Parts: sequence; C-alpha cells; structure tokens
Amino acid sequence: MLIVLPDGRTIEIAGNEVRIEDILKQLFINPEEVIVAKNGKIVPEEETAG
Amino acid sequence: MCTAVRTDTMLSDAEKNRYSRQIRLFGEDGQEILRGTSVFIAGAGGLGSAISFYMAAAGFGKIRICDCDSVELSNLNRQILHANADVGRAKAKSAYETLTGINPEIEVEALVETISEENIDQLLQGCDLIMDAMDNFPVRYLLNRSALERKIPLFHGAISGYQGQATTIIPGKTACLACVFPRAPPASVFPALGSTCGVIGSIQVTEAVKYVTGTGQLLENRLLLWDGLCGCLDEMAYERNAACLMCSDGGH
Repeated sequence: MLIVLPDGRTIEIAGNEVRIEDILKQLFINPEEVIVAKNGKIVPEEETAG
Repeated sequence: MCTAVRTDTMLSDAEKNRYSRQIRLFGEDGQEILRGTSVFIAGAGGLGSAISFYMAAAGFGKIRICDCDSVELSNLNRQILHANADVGRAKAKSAYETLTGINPEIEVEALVETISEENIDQLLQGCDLIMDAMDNFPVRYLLNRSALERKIPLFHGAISGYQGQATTIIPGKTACLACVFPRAPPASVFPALGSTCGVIGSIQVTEAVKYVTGTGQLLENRLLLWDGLCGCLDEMAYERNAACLMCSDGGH
C-alpha cells in the first residue's frame, strides 16, 4: 500500500489489513502528532489499511 | 403625511454605507442578522487577531473576546490586534481599543480571563457561536464540549508555521472536535507566521458569515488543510465517531 508521509514523501509498504496504529509504529511516527487519512477520509488508529 | 418608521432591526444609512460591499452578497437582511449575532472569540493572539479584525469589520453586533495574557514583543510578528506601544498591556484591553476603533457601530466586550471549567458558562452567556482562536487542545476540548451542550457552532482553527487547518462543528449535525482529534497533540512552542494566522482566521470568519447568513457550503465534516509552503489547499473528510466520549450518547 502507498503511504504519504507528513513531509510529502511517499513510501510503499507490504501487507493487507494492517492496523493504522501498527503502521505508525513501524514508521516511528507518534500517533498524537498526526492525523491519518485513508482514501481522503480521516480514520482512527483502530482502522485497518491495505 | 408619511412618517418614516425605523425599527431597531433596520440598518442606519451609515451602516448601509459601511457594509455596502458585502450587502451585495447577502442583502440588508443578512447584514441585520450579522448585527444581531453575538460571538465569543477564545483568544486575542495570532488567530484571534485575524478573526476579531474581520468580524468587527463585517459588523457582527457583539464581540466578546477573552485572553488572559499581556502583550510581549515576540507576539508582534503575528498578533496584529496589538502594536508596539501595547507591549506589557493586557491583550484584551489592547483588543478592545483596536476593535472599537475599526468599527464603533458594534459592541465589544474584552475580558482579561483564563478560560476554564469554572467560568466557561459565564463567558459564553448570550453568545450564538464560538470562534476557536486558542493555541492548545485542552481549552479547545472545553470549547467543544460547551458548544455541544449549548448547541451552538464552533469554528475551529489551528496553525503551525506555514500550515493551518479549519473546520466547522455544528452540534447534532456534524462530528465534534473530539471525533476528529480524540487525543491532544503534545504541547509545544510551535512556529507561527502571521500570514498563516491570516489565512486560517479569515477562513473561520468566512465560515461564520456563511453560517449566520445561510449562504454557501460550510466545512461540515471536512477538515480544510492549508500548506503555505507549497501554496496548496487540501481537505479531508471525517465522520462522527460512534464511541466519541464527547458527542456520542455513551459519552454524555
């Protein structure tokens, strides 16, 4: 899946149905410092992506 | 013999002149509604400066602005309510003079207060809407909860450096602020550019004008994102969180 980071860079990570919370941990991003959008909609950390 | 009748709701000739360019947008009826609207502006800093300037100029009839701080030199790159000579003075007092100078037709109430659980009800007494010009989320959550309890809209804005965001919370209709931001970001001294405050504050005021006059589309369930570095506007949709601690049935 394609991830757009806060600085505008895009990276691709493997995996299906990965929790947003786990993706943020993998990328060493503090969940308190970001909002996450999936397909243009803000989603909570419990949501899955991929 | 005809007698001219003037009710309190009618605009004076001076008001019609002052607001003539915006009356073209929403008519004298819309202007009268603006005049009959009382707003609470939480903060007289960067966002509060832009918000209060444009709300005063637009003719919102009563502006209650609240800030506990005094003006510091480091405020003056962005807090255009205050001038060099105001350093050391209470921001609320400086705000009062500036806003009444811009528009003597409106009523301005400026309070040197810290917004808290203890005084929020009194601060919001008689207000029709809340303008979020704060720099911290604990008070934003308090404003959010008060908006929900009073069923009045909250016009949220926030900035950091070149970037900013804005959205409009309509209790009972949209998600609330806690749905979008369930946890406060860590408190920090963040960079602040005056023009970013101007962009976001202007958007918040535009939302308030549209809400009051019933025109256009509001930023309902949409978070507008401004990035001044690339000159881009983006938006993200959001929805109510059924488990929200503030606005869901289980949260009350």
